[in-house]
Amino acid sequence: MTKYKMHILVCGGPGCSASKSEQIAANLRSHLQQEGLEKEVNVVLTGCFGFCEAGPIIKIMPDNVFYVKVQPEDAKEIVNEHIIKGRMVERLLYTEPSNGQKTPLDTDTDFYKKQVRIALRNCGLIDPENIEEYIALDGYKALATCLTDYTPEKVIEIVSASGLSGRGGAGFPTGRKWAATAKSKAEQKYIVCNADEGDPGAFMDRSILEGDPHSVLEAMAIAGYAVGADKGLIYIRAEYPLAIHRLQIALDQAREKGLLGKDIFSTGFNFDIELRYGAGAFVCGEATALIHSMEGLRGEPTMKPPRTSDKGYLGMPTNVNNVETYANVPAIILKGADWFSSIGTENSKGTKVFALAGQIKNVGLIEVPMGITLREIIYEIGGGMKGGKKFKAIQTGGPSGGCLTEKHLDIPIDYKSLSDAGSMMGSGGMVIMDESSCMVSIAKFYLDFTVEESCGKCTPCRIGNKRLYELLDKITQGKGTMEDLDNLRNLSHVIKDTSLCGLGQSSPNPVLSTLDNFWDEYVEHVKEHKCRAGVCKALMKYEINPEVCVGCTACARNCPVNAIKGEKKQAHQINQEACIKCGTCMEKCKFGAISVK
Amino acid sequence: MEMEQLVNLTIDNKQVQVAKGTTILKAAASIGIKIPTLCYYELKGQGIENKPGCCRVCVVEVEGKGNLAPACATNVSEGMVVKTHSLKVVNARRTVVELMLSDHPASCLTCAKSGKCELQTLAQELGIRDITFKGEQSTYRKDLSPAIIRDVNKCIMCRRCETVCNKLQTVGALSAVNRGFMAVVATAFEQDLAKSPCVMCGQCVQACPVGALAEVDHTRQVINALNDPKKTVVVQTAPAVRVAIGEEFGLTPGTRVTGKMAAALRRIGFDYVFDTDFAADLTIMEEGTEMLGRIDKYMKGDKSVKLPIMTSCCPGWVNFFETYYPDMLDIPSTAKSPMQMFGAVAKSYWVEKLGIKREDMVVVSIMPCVAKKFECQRDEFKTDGNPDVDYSLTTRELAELIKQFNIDFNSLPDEDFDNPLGASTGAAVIFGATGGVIEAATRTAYELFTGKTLEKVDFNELRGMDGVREATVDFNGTPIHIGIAHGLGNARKLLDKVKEGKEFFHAIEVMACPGGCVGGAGQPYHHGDFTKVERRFAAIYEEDKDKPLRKSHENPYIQQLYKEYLGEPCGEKSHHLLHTHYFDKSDKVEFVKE
Amino acid sequence: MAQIKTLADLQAVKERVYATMKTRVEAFDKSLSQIRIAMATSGISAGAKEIFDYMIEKTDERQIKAVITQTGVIAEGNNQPVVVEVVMPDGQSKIYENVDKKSADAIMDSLKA
Repeated sequence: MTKYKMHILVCGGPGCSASKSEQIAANLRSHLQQEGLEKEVNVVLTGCFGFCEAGPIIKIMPDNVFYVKVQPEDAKEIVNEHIIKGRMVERLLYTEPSNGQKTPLDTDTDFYKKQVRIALRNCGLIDPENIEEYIALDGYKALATCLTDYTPEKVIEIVSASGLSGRGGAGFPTGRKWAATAKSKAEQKYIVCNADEGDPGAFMDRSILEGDPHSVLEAMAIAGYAVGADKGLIYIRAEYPLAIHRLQIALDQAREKGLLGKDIFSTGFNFDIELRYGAGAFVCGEATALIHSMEGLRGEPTMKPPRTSDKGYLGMPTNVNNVETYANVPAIILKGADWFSSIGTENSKGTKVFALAGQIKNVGLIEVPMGITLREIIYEIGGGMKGGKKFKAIQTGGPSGGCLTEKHLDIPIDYKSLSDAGSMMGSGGMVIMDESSCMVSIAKFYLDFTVEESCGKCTPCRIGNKRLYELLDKITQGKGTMEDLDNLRNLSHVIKDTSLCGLGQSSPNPVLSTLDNFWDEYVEHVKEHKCRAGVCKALMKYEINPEVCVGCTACARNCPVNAIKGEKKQAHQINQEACIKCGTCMEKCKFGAISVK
Repeated sequence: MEMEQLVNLTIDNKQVQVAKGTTILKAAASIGIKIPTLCYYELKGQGIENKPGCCRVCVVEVEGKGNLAPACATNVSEGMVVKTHSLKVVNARRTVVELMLSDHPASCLTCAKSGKCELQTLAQELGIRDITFKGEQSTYRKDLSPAIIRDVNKCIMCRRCETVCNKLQTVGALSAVNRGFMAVVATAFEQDLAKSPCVMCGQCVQACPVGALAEVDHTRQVINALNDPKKTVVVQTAPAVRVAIGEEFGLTPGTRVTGKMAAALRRIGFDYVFDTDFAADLTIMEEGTEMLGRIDKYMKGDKSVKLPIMTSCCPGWVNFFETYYPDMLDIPSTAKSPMQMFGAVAKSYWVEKLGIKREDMVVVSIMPCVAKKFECQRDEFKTDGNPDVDYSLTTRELAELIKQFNIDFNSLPDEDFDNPLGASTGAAVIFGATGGVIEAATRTAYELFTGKTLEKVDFNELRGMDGVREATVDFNGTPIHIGIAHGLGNARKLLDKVKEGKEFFHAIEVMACPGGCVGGAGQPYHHGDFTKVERRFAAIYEEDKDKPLRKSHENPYIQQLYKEYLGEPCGEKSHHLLHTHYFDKSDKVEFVKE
Repeated sequence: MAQIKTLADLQAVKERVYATMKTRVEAFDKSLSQIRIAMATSGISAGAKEIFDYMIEKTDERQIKAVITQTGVIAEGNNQPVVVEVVMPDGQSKIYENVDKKSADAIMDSLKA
């Protein structure tokens, strides 16, 4: 077999794929072939590198040089310059925002420096469509170890001792969940992987499934051994075709190798996995709703207890964990509980993958140890605020998380500290906002999502969230009253207290956290009819300064609703009732006579 | 024997000890604390409990828990401390009901359920005078089937109808559709109910706490007929009505008001106040004869004859087997239901007697039933487009009519039905309870089969409230196996056993509603208090016991009818007037399976 | 594909495939020393490529744990042909100039100790 001298890793993550990374890989291969280097240099299309801001990215190993925003046409130059002549292609190097320096080694970038990759350990490093590359990096060794050296009790003990907890949002201790399912007595038990990633902007589960599918398959088999289940199900959104494709390949290869199926590692242990497709309903991330959906019933949650560990899929004990949780398991088995629990905080062990988005320089997928501060994430990994604007808020935990502010930036983050601060870990969404964001509008934006995604089963979530949305809308229209603000708070608390499942119990978080942290902004909307961020159109007022207006009529001619009147060469006026705040007049005025308040 | 585990807890500062697995709701009820509920609906003893925990009206505070717990769906645990009316609870409960009202049409004045609406009652009990959260209301189209109106705007997603339709009746016409704010219970693809697999049993109407499901109202048509001088308006009342209608006038469930009811009907202005019970006796003559004939042929080895014979007087049940068991259409008795037999006799025998034209007679039936509204509209029960029974009213509609006619029901004297079509035996009365039809048939069949006088008319082995019952009756040495089911889910269980050849029965009685007609969908709303149905059930048998004649074939007016008009049971004329046939409606189910 | 039925089977696959991926994976391993060979135009013309290939081959043969990478110009103004920089895991680095196969052996030996 060929011992490649070099490897060119091409990111095949969702963002980079969209920017033709497959074409880049193909071009690299053909240029290498032209130069007769195909036996020396291996081109691998991998899973997501995480650094989506700079995509499409390729990495040249072992040099560890990474090129950003690569185009398919750049392939030739990369082969000729870097591979053949050993000269880096300067123009494709990454420029560190903190110091403006070209930074060829990705390990030196602020983006990667503080990251600790456990769940994402193989993403961007291996070819996800080749099981042997996974095996080469100790894949399936954890399963072999469990089956041959450990009792199921011992496996649960290790997972419990590691302190791993559910990465899907609630943070329930994984070991306890496994132990509960193991304790339930039944003819048939199931291992379910929740791959119904529903948070807008979150794509860690997708990245793991696309970049390292075997880590999840292996972990599910380990879980099956630990709890006494021989059947696994992956509930995945049908909107993830690439992840489904890679999972199918992974399943086929694992079965061919005998790593799934009957008598695995000649131990008599049987385990196989099926895929189930979801329609991508946010609420189906809730375990009971997910199970109902898999059973062909309406995707809505039911009261717990019974927990799924007692009565889950088809009424049988079922262990449900999400993708990222499973992805941690093989590493824990191989490196030990102590290693894992040494990372993180008192309350939360290990790492968490976050999807960074919003007004920061480096958006992308990051994996950081628990206990890191938001400040480190925003200013070091994230490279700080875009365009030099001032940080205003960070929304964590997906659509039902809360908005945190400057004063929360130095809290070491874990499940508890985020929840104490009025937000949550959730599945790991992080949206960073600057002063151009109106916090009332932000709360409204998230409520719009929960209204859309509520299953409609319980009254507070079905109707309450709609009413929250309407109240917020009223405030952004400048029609809110101080009483509305009280009602907003009371209703939020009632929805949290009375909703049936986690969706409703957390959906008012964006409202409550913005009421707490940005109260003045709400009051401004209500009392002064003012939106300081200039987002709420209804509160904007365009005015013509009669001192400056020369009466050129450009504004009046361009106004789409004929809201501007005035004689030629006379100062014009805007009819505020008719104005739709489109801003055309201001754009068209050559004399700077029009301003917005 | 296993000891029942007991759990100690505190509810509103009171100590209470209940069995493990009890809900907070029931634990509270056991010490007289009534926690308001809305989506919770139980048919006690029938294995039906709707507790999705979705309305969130019954939330209570459980010490140590962050959020509030629904009492109906939360089990007690040792040392639990529950508060059912803390400030937090009362605020939440009020807010939740206000939210419901904010998405509910305020059309109480003209709502079918007004005065009986559980949401209305709740709003009153919680003192809601203003709705804080006003906003958009979800809107849907209204859907009318021949028997049931769905006014989906009023749906509060309690899922009670869904549970009875799917779990109790296994019909599966209703389920939750749409998501979020637009979520409601509806038919698949929101098709018309009439085109869905709905069998019109109406248990959804009985279960619906609000006006989202109601029967189609026919009182106006009846009033118009009464006001038409050209029409002779004849009324017949089903056996189960007389033990239930009193509830609408504040009487205890199970109060027998047969005489007052007859008096009320007369005061409303019906020309003849007759009794469906008369036709029930007639049904026994026909069905009993058919049954004996089939059993006789079967025993003699005639392979063309199939057993069991199944009763066919329940229209929900007829729709059910036409929809779900089209391969078994030759098994049910061909005898029409008592209501339709009455109509057929009234519009032939009785018009002849009166010397009037068929078109000038209007037959109104008072039924404990919603499906009867559909049955009387079936084409096979019409002559030249004129139906044998013109209008079928529910027990509730009759009560409304009595109120509209300003009749003080409770102070009415007891009056008798008119003759000849008002005379009946005890065997006819028990048609109103599960097991009653088959018991009535047995009383007559026994004597016809054995030629002996039946000494003990009470067949206790056929009575009871269990969903599926089996009994063997000794016909003078010949064992006759009888199966009984009430609730269509139970009927399905029994029928599947027969279909798979697991059990053999000579005869089977099925009633679509739990408890039989006493628990009918057209009866006064019991709001999930099934003891009301049980009391009506007991009253039926009391009524039977008090009757001087208790076997259908002893009814002298029935004997006279055969002598004067029909000839003999299952004879040519009877066959023409009193028997029917069934249709394959399974294509309705196929659509849903898609 | 042959079935993997024992830990030994698994280990065999691992070793076979790992060898092909070594240069990719070990670059991430900070516990390994790095041998960086300057491959700017001057270096290549002076035979840096041969030294590069030679060292890749020999480190494997001699089982020396090190990552061999190519890089651009090492140290400003240095125009000595074939420059090799060895970076130890602790960050200390040493620059060798005029490297030929013989001195390459010596460099590798120094890492073995």
